[in-house]
Amino acid sequence: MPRYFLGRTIALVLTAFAASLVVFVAMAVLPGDPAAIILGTGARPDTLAALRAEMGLDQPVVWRYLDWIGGFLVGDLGTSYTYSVPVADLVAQRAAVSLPLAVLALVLSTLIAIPVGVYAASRRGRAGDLATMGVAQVGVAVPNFWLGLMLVVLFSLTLGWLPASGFPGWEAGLLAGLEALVLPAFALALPQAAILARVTRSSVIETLGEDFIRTARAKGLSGEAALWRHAVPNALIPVVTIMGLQFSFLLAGTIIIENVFTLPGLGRLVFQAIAQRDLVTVQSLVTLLAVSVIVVNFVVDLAYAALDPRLSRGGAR
Amino acid sequence: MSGAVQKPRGRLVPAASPSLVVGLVVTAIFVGMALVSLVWTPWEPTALNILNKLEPPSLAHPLGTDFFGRDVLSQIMAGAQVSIVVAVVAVLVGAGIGVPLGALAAARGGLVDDVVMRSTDLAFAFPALLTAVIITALAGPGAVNAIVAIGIFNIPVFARLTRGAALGLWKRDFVLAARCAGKSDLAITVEHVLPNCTAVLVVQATIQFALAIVAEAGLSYVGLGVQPPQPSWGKMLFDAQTYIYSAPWLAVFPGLAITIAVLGLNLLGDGLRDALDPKVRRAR
Amino acid sequence: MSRLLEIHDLRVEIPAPTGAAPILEGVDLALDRGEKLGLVGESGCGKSMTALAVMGLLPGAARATGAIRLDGQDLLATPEREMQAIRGRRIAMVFQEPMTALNPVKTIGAQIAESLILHLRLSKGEAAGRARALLDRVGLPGPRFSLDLYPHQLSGGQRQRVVIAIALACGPDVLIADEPTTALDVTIQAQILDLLEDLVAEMGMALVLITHDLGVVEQTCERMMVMYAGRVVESGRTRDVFAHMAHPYTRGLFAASPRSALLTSARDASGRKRRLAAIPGQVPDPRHRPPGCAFAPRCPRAQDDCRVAPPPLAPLGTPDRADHAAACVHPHPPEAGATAPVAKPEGAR
Repeated sequence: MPRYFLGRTIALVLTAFAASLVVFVAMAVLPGDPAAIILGTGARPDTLAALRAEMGLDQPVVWRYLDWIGGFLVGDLGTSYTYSVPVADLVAQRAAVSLPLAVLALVLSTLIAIPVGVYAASRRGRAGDLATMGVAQVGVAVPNFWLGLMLVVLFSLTLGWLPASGFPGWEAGLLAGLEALVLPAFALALPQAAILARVTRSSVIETLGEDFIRTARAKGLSGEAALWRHAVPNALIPVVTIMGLQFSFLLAGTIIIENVFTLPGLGRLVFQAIAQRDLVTVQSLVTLLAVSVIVVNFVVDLAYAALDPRLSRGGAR
Repeated sequence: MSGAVQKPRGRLVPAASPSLVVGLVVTAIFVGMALVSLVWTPWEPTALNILNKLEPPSLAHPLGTDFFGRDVLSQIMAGAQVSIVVAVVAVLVGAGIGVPLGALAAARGGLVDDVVMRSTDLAFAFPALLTAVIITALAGPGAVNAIVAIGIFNIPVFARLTRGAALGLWKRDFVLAARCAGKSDLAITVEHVLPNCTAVLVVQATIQFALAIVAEAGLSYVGLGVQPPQPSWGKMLFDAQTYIYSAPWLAVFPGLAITIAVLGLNLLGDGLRDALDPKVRRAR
Repeated sequence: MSRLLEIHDLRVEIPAPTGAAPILEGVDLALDRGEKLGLVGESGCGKSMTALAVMGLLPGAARATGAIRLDGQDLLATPEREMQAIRGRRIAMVFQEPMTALNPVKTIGAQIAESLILHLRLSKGEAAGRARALLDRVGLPGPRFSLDLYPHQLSGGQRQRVVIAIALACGPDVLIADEPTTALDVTIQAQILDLLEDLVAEMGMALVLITHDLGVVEQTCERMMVMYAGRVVESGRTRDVFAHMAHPYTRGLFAASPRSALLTSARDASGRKRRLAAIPGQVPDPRHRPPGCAFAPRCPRAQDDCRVAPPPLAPLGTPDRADHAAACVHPHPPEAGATAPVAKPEGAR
């Protein structure tokens, strides 16, 4: 186990560095001189040169990378060209919207998907299974941004229960903040829940065919008890991996969903930064997102090992 | 021991499952709609008619008209073209690069394999849609950049899949026989390994195709896909959002079109998987 | 007075689009407390199905008719909820595959304690104490074999001991052991059988031992039943069956068993080294059984009258062998069995 852990940690660090390098190179290669964009087309050459020097754009590429990544490691993500505030502050401010949104979506999707998947598996081939999996099949196909629009039409425009867009800020109160996040979270969660429910179902069905389920039934456990006590704990181990992958989908999903609901989150920040060629912000933000995906996958790997005693406990033989 | 009952051997062409049939029909309708729209649509998709703007569905305009009086049905038909072209090319780009990479990794192993696999790990660290948005935003919106942005993330998917399938095949006896016959790695890959990977690749391609349609719609929705006046489903959704209070039906139909197209492709993929993968068939 | 376990005219069928396929037909069985019954036959002959029918754990689509009585109570008519109180409490089962019969994510202690808590309403602590004692009894003493071990930390034989501990936890009246040693190394097989025998004697329960190994039956069971294609083809006291072997299938099984080589001379009359005789052909598919005796297509003694109707299990009427019965139109005469246990089926030459 310690060896496994060490190996994974080294891989984690290397992948994260490689990701930062990819982002940096991509940004350096892509067209558009940020200094020229800030100053506009009518800028005088000497002002341009001065700004370039101030932004460090006249430095050699390697130095610029080291300077950026060195700062990155100590939490200095650079200074936004357009907002003139540290990128770290921007990120923290916007993450206060995106992170709760992603977590809420993940929680919703899990709370919906696992019971539905287990239920469908337990009714395999019968009406309940066919109905829920039919709905899930459609759910997988629904684009989350359209679902968001439809939820707005239904719950905001028709029923008037929830705000259609915008975010009042957490200072407006927890309830007001959550209210603004409910629809976007459902829009993100439902298609993911459909995927997760399908995975859960097939995993549970596979486990229900295992010999140890028969052992459990032979002990006198009811079908229900064998399902929940013996099949589900085994079946959920692979499901955890899928949940890790979903985090990456959810991050990507927020960028579009935040546009549907005009939420001031990281997705909107990325958009605004790109539109204003605020390259340092884009670069740091994308790297940060990539690193968080890598870290989440790492945590999922560890969770997987912790859940499965065959991996975490050494064998006697 | 009760399972040792002899079963008659499976037919070579398995019975078509309902999902395969429905998937095929829906996909055929979707492709047919795009083809028909090349020569005929009820109305000119881009024809403006301000007098008839924001009409609800009627006999003349079965799905209504948008803010510029354009016929929604005609736009949806023409929009299928973009979805198909972008998705097909993006999947072809991904498979065209990913499959050879995966086959190479499997054939060579060692360092080559490590490099390919670690590169795919790296690629999976970037949320696909988010990165596609950033690429198109920085490189400029348009169909070509959308294809590149979506295609890039198909490369690791196909590379991994091909490698996994090929690795299993390299251990098989017929490959061993070909090696003993002195065939080169390349010849074995082309003659024996890749043909045997076709089934999994085709199934994956339909799934990636569905994902690409959603990704294209997403890019168009945020204004980074194909540019007007070429109609596209994502762009229609974006436009519809502006009038969601006065004409909510505008947002319904393009989304339905995306959902049905993706549903059809997913069913087709499921059906193909069941039909082509003997392991799954037996497990049913 | 009713027997402990009595099966009468058990028929199990699995509905299929082509018409119901009978997996078991006309199976009768009776077992008293303390008795050990061997159930033998090739794979697919219905031994495990019989066991699962008794447990009430037949695969979803299968339908059972007839009667399975435990102390007079018909289990086939017993509602599922009551069956749950019987399973593991009064009838327990040991399975063939110890590698997969245990839940990999639960400790062995928890898996043993589970039925104690369920049936005997023990507290967790009491159940753990009992589980400890059970593990000690099946030959997995603490502290080396902690209750906190996971199945993957044990060998196949050790796992089978855990499975046995689970089955015995609530002191059942009937233990069904379905090929308990088949998946184990030869050296371990004897240990596990000895353990089972000791436990059965100690706890006074009845044992149904399912196996394809005639030697095991001979060693362990007073009575035996030979099954073929879902029917009982020969039954009786073990020594009677072994002495006579009335049904050609029983002889075929014996000839195919490695044990026959030990019991008879290693060389036959002509001095050639004897080889194990496999029974030619295969157990027929339940959907395509021949109209007459199901063994006829493979039988060296088959004649036209064998192919008319399945012969019933009938007493052979041999003096002093009251129980001995066979389902055969042309059974071997008793003398042949007594003197030459192995008559090689013609087809196997």
